[in-house]
Formats: sequence, structure tokens, C-alpha cells
Amino acid sequence: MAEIEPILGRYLKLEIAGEPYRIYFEEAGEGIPLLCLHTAGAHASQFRHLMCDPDVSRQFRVIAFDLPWHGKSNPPVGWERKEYKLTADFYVDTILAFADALELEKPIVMGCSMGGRVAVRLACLHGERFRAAIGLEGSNRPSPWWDNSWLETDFFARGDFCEALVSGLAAPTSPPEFRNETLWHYRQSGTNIFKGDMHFFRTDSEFEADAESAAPCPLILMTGEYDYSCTPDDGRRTAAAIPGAEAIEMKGMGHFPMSENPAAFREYLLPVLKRFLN
Amino acid sequence: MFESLLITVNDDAYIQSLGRNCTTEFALGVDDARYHIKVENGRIISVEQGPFQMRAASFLISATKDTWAEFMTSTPRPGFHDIFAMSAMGNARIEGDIKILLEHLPYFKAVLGLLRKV
Repeated sequence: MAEIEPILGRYLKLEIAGEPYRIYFEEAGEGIPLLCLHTAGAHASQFRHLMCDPDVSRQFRVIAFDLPWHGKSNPPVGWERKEYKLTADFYVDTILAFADALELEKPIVMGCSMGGRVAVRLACLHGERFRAAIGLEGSNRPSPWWDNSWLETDFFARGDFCEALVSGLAAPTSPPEFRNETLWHYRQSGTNIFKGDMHFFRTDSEFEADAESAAPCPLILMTGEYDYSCTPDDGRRTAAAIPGAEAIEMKGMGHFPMSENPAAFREYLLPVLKRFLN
Repeated sequence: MFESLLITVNDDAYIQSLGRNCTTEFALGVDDARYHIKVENGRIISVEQGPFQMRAASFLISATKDTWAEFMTSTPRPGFHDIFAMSAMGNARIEGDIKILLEHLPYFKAVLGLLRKV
């Protein structure tokens, strides 16, 4: 008997910022929508383990889409004369347009890395639309560990470079098979797409939290102890600045919890998700 | 401290293939000691310990002996598990012509990974 996973992949026609896009998304499960956002230079497949976890899919509809230019989502018509640069506005517009198109009712939004960064913004600016926001390896501003001048080199056009650049962000304690699958996604990215995501992550993602930033929905920042791109201290600092936000440190975990160590991640995530069951 | 690379890298055809276009001399610092490592098309030609008198190296990764020892354990603590983690967390300095390191990053990550006890 063939082993077929419960994940279904489909394509959606979506208008974002006045332009038509063809967006690929995957989903599994039924219940509260859990909208998942992949990391820079990667794609929705990072969430495949959650979609195949019956303890999640029994009560949550896990949905993940590939951002435009990523995975199986198309770039816009005319891409051949455009340099891809992700901005905060386009990123937020894309997420809200996707949630609207699928008529998701009060989803939980959960993003990783740059998806975690935008989760902070979504919770504070659009929190009334979400049941909760979960930022995995997400903070409210960059903590650069390499110089922005590197972006002026041609190295970001190489998948093997992007993979090697992020390889240390996966924890040495993660199972090699899943650690390496996570890194493989960085070889799959289109030329300079990871670099284009860095435009948001490094220069357009800062969200200054202040006393008036109280998130209208719960905001939970979950950070792995091996992550030096967004450290557990970055998570705690961000949570401390936003009333109602909470930080959780994940032991033995790196920058890609859902894909590099799914077994360890579910132990942290399931109790968090359980809070939002009616 | 790094002499093992002469054997481990040169016995690993795959890792040498990652560096087939890499010919350079780079340096590793351990406390005040320096090691210079010559690479020719991915093969390690020599590992020499200083002192050197103003000898050139393309780039230098320096850390304390304790930091390198932690890096080489099978499961290093956070901040010691990768050269960029060491740099980011203030446990190492990476200086010089960083572009050589970046151009051959898959190779150098793999080479230094061979220092880790499995």
C-alpha cells in the first residue's frame, strides 16, 4: 500500500497590491486555521511535519503558502525586468490577502524567522484579525551577525552559498536528515530570492514596539537556544516591550524548529496551540 | 591542533570537490598561537604552526583554546557550534579577506566540520 501523506496542494489566484499572482498553498487538517509563514529563501514545505501530525490536524487546519517568487508560487508577470525585494508592506498585504481569499476566520498566524518578524507586526497592527500570533525565531528588529556589504557580492545568487550561510543556524542536536532537508530548501530557492527577502529582514522589518504597542491578540515568541540570528534574549526583549506578549525558549533548538526538529518542536508547540481551542 | 586536517580533508574526495577552485592560505588563531593552512584546489598542502613574521593569510579565524575545544566536541554548546555562531556571540573574530571565505563557504564549513568529534 502506497504511503500517501494527508497534505493537499493547490493553486490560488490572488491579487496583491493591485497585481495578479498565482500562489501555491498546502494544507491538512480541520478546525481552527493555523496559517504558517515560511522563512526567507524557502517555501511552505517547511511545515510538512505539522501537517502530518494528527495531534495538530485533528483540531487545526494547517495552511502554508509559498510567497510570490518562492517555491511553486509565480513571480508577477514582467518578473524578467524586476529585481525582487520584499518590503514590509507587500509582505503584510500578501498575508492578509491570502487569509481573506480563503475566508479564514480568526486564524492563528505562525511564522518563522522573517515570518516571525512579520508576526510581531501583524499582532500589533492587525491583531484583531487573528486569534493569536506565534513568532518562531522572531523579534521586532534585526540582530545582524553579518555585514550588509555581503549583499553587494554575487554570492547570494548561489544556492550552495545560501545553504552554507544558514547552516549553523540549525542546531547540532537536530536529526541530520531533517536538518539537511531544511538546508536543501536554501539550495532550491530562485536566484537572488533569499537576497530579496533580506531586504525586508535586514532593512525594512524593524517594528518599534512601545508602551502603546499592546497586541490586540496574544503574541507568543518561541526561540531556539542555538539560534544566533534571533536569540532567546531577542525574543525576551521583544516580548518585554509589547504588553501581553510572551517569550518561550526552546532548548536544543535552532532557527528552523518546525522543519529541523519536528519531534522536539511539537512538545513546545502543542501546549501553546491547546490554549486557543475553544 | 589542526594537523588532523591534512588527513581528514585529503581522505575526503567529496569535501575536496567543494574546494576544487579554492587555492589559498588561511589562518586559525588559538589564544596567541597562529596556524597557517595552505589549500590547493581543495587539498590541504600544509598545516604550520607559528610564530610567523608578517606572513600573509587570506583570512583569520581566531578564538581561545577553550572556544575551539568546545567547537570540536560532538555537541557544542550554543554560541560555539559554528564559526558564525562563535563570531555572532563574541566567541571568535573573523578578519581579513572575508570574500575568500564566502566564495568557498561550503568548502570551509565542511573542512572545519571535520574538526568535530563524532
